[in-house]
Amino acid sequence: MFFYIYDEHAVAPTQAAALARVEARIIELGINGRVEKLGPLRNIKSLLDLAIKQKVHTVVVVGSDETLLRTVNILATADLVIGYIPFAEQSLLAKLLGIPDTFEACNILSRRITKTVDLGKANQNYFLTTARCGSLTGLRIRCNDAYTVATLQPTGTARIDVLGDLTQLATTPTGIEAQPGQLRVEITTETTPSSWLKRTAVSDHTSVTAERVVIDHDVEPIPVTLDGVTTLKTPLTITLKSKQLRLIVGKDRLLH
Amino acid sequence: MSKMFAPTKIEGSGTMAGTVIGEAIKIEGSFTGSGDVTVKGMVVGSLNTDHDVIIETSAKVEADIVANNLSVAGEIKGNVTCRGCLTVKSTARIYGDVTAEVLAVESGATIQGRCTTGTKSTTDTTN
Repeated sequence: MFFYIYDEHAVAPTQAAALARVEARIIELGINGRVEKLGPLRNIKSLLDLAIKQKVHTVVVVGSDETLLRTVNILATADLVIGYIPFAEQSLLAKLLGIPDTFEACNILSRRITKTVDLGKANQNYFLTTARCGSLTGLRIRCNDAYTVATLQPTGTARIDVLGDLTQLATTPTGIEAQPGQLRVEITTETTPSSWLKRTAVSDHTSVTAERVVIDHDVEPIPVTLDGVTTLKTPLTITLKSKQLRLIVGKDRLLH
Repeated sequence: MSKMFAPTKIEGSGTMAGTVIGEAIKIEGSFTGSGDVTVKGMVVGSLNTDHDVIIETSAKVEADIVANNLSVAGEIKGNVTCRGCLTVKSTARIYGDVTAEVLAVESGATIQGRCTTGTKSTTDTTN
């Protein structure tokens, strides 16, 4: 059975015509199922718990990337397939999964080509793309219980990637190829100009792979955002769960 | 890309490395690289990889290094074991014993330690 979750993007009045076309196509293809809408009193966790209880085989997110990423987090340990009908402008996940538009998304669902992807696990939470640290000040990253990565510059960003930052899809049109079985620690620091003559800040990039990463802090807990939707605080232990989740993909997917 | 068309990694300034340790980074402990490694910052402890390592001018390494090919332009305090070619640039400073199959040293480089080359052949040349 298919279980469709509509978020606020899908049910927006401006999308009414597009949604009607999608619903008609879903019925034509014979892949219709139960439809539930997110709302103030119906959060995604309760709806997905309902889907698991009903033993559905496919959950389809109809809406935005954010809703899909939240779904991934919750359904990571469930034995079902996740599909996506993008209703948001400039959906990076749709591009990654090879879904060109909402109408074609229905055909892709019907073809049901699945791709099994790795997920990162940060304490008890899962993520698909990246875990982003809010600050480098006092940040300690320990990899594989063997070595520590410390930054000598307090300004910059640190990420622990599974698929990586999806915004890179704009610069790497050939797609994302995650290193199997490995998390990638990406740190970019910025050196402030030493004098007024040198106005441009110099950025410095570090990239290290590891199977297990522990993020800790020296002074106060540092916020770490998973997939841009869930924020946790250090200390965090991040591991990679191989072949954890099945996603329905199109033939033009950028996920290798 | 097939191996045949893979770019040369050690020669030149281009970094094809899978691992890059930036200038503002300090790594402490037993570091094992899964691919080629480029070091621009600090490494304290040990550095092991089956692939190639580039130690850039800004790098300070206080570690024993085991690598395939190694190019050094920065500072190393520790023993170096190199299965292939060790290229020591003019700006390099190595304080420790060096073992390599092939050793190439530019004028102006500093090496303070015991050098052993031709490790695969039966005759070793010890300086």
